[in-house]
Amino acid sequence: MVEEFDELERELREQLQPRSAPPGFAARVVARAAEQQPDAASRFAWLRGNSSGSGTRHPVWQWATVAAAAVAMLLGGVEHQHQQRIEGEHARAQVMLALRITAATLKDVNEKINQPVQASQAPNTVESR
Amino acid sequence: MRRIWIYLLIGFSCLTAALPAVAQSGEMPFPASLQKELAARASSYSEVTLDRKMLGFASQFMNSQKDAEGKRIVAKLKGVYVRSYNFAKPGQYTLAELASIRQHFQGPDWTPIVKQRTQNATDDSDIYMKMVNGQVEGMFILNSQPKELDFVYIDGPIRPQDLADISGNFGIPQVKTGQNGKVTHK
Repeated sequence: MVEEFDELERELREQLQPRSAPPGFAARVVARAAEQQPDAASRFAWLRGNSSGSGTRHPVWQWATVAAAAVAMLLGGVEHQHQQRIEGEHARAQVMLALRITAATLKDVNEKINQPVQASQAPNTVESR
Repeated sequence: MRRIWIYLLIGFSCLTAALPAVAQSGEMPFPASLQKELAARASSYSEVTLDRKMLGFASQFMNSQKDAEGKRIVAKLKGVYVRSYNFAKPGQYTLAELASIRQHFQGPDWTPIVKQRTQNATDDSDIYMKMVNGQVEGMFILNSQPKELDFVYIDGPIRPQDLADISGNFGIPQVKTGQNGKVTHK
């Protein structure tokens, strides 16, 4: 029984003993990792029109991106112009309202000072230059 | 640490002291609290505030033939401030309130052209002109009626002819100002 335990212990010691990696193992791991995860720069190389990154070029995507940006800018400009126009029309309406009220107020004052003065309704003071 | 707090306190005090001066630079001609009170009492009201920047912006959109006269008039102005309140019943404003509105236009530059006073101020009229170096640089109009109160301040050069143009162009019978300043219908 004791001998069996001794044998088991000896096997365990052998198995758990630290061993150095075979030559070139680290280099192979790094190379495999690089193959599986291309870096970000090479991933977006097509955007720069640079084919050296991933080895492939996507002119359709490149032009699509430019076109999308141009359309977005155009739509933004149109929307801004539309908004400006709405605000401008509102400001114009405010000016016209202000002038209309001013004109109506002037008319009322004009009528008041020109109306025939009746004794019962005579104002206390009227000055007109 | 204590010194930092003292500096902060001094800085805050300076800022607080400077605020009224800043507020005065964008000065409103009518008492703000009174406008709120009148608006609260009114059954309907119109308040139009247009400074020079807003007038310039609006004039860019006044391109039709019917806007031509208005565009010409506002081109020279620095501001137009219009308040019009309609009330459901009489007695919604007081003599003191009208006095506080007129207060802004009592300086040496202001000349009363029309000044009509009635009992309880229910039918008062005012037209004041601001004269600077012999030129009209502003106009204030107030018209009170039992159930309506209107006051207008036009800041900037405005000629009697402009008044006639304003009157004639907005569905209002035209008004003509004579040499003696008396206003007559045309």
